Amino acid sequence: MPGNASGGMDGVAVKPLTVGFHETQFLGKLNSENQAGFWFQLSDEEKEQAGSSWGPENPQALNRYSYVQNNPLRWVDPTGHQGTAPVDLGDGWYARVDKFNIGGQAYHEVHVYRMENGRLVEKGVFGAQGWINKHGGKDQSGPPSGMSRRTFDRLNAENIKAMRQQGTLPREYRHYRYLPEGQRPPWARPMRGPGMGGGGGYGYSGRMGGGLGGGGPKSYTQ
Amino acid sequence: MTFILDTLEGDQETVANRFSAYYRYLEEVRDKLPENAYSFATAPWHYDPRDSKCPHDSWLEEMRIFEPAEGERQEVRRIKIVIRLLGSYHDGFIELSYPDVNKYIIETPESDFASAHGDWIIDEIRLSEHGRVIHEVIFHRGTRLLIESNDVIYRWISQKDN
Repeated sequence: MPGNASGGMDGVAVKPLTVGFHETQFLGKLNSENQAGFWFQLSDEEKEQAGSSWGPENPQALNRYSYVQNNPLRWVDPTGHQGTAPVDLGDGWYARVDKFNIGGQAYHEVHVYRMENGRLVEKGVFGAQGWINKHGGKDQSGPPSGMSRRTFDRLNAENIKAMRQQGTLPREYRHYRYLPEGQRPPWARPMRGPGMGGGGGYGYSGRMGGGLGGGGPKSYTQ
Repeated sequence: MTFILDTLEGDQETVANRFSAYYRYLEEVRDKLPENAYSFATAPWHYDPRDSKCPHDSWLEEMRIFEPAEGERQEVRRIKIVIRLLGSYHDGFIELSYPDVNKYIIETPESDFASAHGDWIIDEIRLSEHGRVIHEVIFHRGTRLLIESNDVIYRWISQKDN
């Protein structure tokens, strides 16, 4: 019965995330096709349909730490709720693909990292429309500093793959595997905002909001 | 027991079922949860990464532990924790306050490549066996934070108001 879902880490040994990038297992996992889960948020209707009973069949009854113990590769997604293996973009660049289903609407983000002095540093967040203004990257357009064309092509490819898996890649662009460096996604909405209107480079000054699969951009001003 | 923190390799249906079970659970315990905690847990933006207020991808700025004291000798003491996060769109801050804490755990795995906690990945609210509120969070690095308190109070601080 609910009401006693007490937390606690007592007695549970968490295996440190010490896997190196050159371990065979790690490399073997890289570039693996992601077929796993999505992060869902139920729509209001789905919440109502969820009913009121909750019992021991609840699938949450899993080893809360097995994500670490079974798969230390989950440095990009320790919860595994996107089920995403780290993606090696090459030349010291990596990506984490977060996938969501928000009330029935698919959405994804590609977090782009670079290994610098042995540490992963996030360089931006990419999405269906190009760069997303998360983590202060609002004025970014084109590939991040130091990223080669080949790496940017791989980033594009991961982005398009995520769209294909989520069904958000427009039908007429299904043949796309990647976009040449600097080419704007043909499905992208017009760039907005100061400094974002010119050129043909990737850029996205707004925020995704209900525009997936149609409709115009939605502003999220606070 | 957790609901959505450990969805592991779950496929779409499994993960959807877990969110469904989580929301059912929140409704079950709604009367026992403080209004602040319930509102935070069920806010429409809570798991919507497109919304500035969503904690997903926010970065930990600071976590402060207080001991507010009363009494003649300041001998009546309690634990209060306040967490401040830089919102994922950098247009504001999230402040989470835990006014009266009776348990907290932070566990951060060592890492060869992560220098900080990284992105706030996911969190959930539960009711403890003592009838208090448990808030458990996972960060990108693998850090787990668990706080059991009498409430969880969320506050969004716009950058312009900061």
